[in-house]
Amino acid sequence: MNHSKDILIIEDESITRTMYVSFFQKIAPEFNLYEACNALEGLCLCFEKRPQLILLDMIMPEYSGEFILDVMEEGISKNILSFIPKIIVVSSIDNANELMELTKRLAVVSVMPKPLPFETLEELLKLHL
Amino acid sequence: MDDMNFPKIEDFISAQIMDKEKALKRVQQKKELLNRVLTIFKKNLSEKKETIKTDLAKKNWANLKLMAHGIKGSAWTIGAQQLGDVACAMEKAADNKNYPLYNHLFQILQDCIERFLESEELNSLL
Amino acid sequence: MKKNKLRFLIVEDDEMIRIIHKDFLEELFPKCEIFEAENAAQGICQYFECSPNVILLDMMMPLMGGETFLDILEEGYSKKVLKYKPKIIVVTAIKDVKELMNIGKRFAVEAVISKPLVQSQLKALLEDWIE
Repeated sequence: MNHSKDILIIEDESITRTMYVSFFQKIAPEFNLYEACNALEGLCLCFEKRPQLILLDMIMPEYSGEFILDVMEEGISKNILSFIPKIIVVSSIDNANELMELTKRLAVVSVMPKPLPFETLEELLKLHL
Repeated sequence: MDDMNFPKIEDFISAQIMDKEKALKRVQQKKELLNRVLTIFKKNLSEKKETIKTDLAKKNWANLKLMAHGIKGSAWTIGAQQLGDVACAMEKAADNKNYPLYNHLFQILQDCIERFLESEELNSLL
Repeated sequence: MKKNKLRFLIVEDDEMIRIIHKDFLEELFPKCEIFEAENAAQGICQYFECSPNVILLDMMMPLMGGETFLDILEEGYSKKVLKYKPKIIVVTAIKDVKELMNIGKRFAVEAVISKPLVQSQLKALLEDWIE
């Protein structure tokens, strides 16, 4: 099954998530969109659907975006995963060191600020999809 | 730093070097399985020793705790009580980021590893 | 579960225990496949990669523990994302009865066994499930 036409959005705030969905529907209408409202559901969807791209909110209650990155790190560094997603992380961190650390995490291809600059995201999509 | 309150090797060697009965029970009397387990345990000990040396130099507390935790669990599983007890103390020292204590206990651990490797109990099982 | 297509996943941080449990399973089911993980993070990755029928799950592991593993699967199943429901045998050093009871109620947990796991316990459980 061809998974290259899937995008996964992991974001707990439903209004924000709806915004992301409309954006992707406009910019990338040929893609299937999957949504997760928490990191646990996000992780399951990531592994079951194998989306080409993941938009990951870092700040979520209970299990955060960090949690997903931790799982990825273990799975990738121990050569368990046959599929490695491309993750665009959305974070309101403004500390330069922390941002750099986030960029270095395995599977992370980009770090975007909150609120998400859609023009920049559009450019990123052209690069990664 | 005042190390008069640090544990001494005498505090640990009253425990058994190797509880053969416990070990055999663990593997349901399968000597060949125990042999395999002990061989891997010995190899891991040697690798973890080297990793601890590196991590101590870097004061990598997350790893230092992980190493101690690993040795503790495995040692107690196979009946190497002394080693497990020392590693347990090391894990607590790592929790408190107590460098002098961890280092001191690591020296004791290395002594205990030697005793373990030379022990009649271990060698009669290999 | 078919005997010649059995896939086990052992999620356990103690390598000695992993070796012993693996030996027990190999002796009981020589044709089975066995996958291993040192913590819940690796365990979850292995779960999705290998689709094990039965999981031996330790609860106390460094980095990520059994509770997290169960949380992930529970959420995945309730959101209808998981393709199937595995059978989980929790093998734990936890002694607190209340804690053990709560673990027993968790998603997909079929049995909670106190360490050390004895081969005959495994055999009794698995024989019921396997054709």
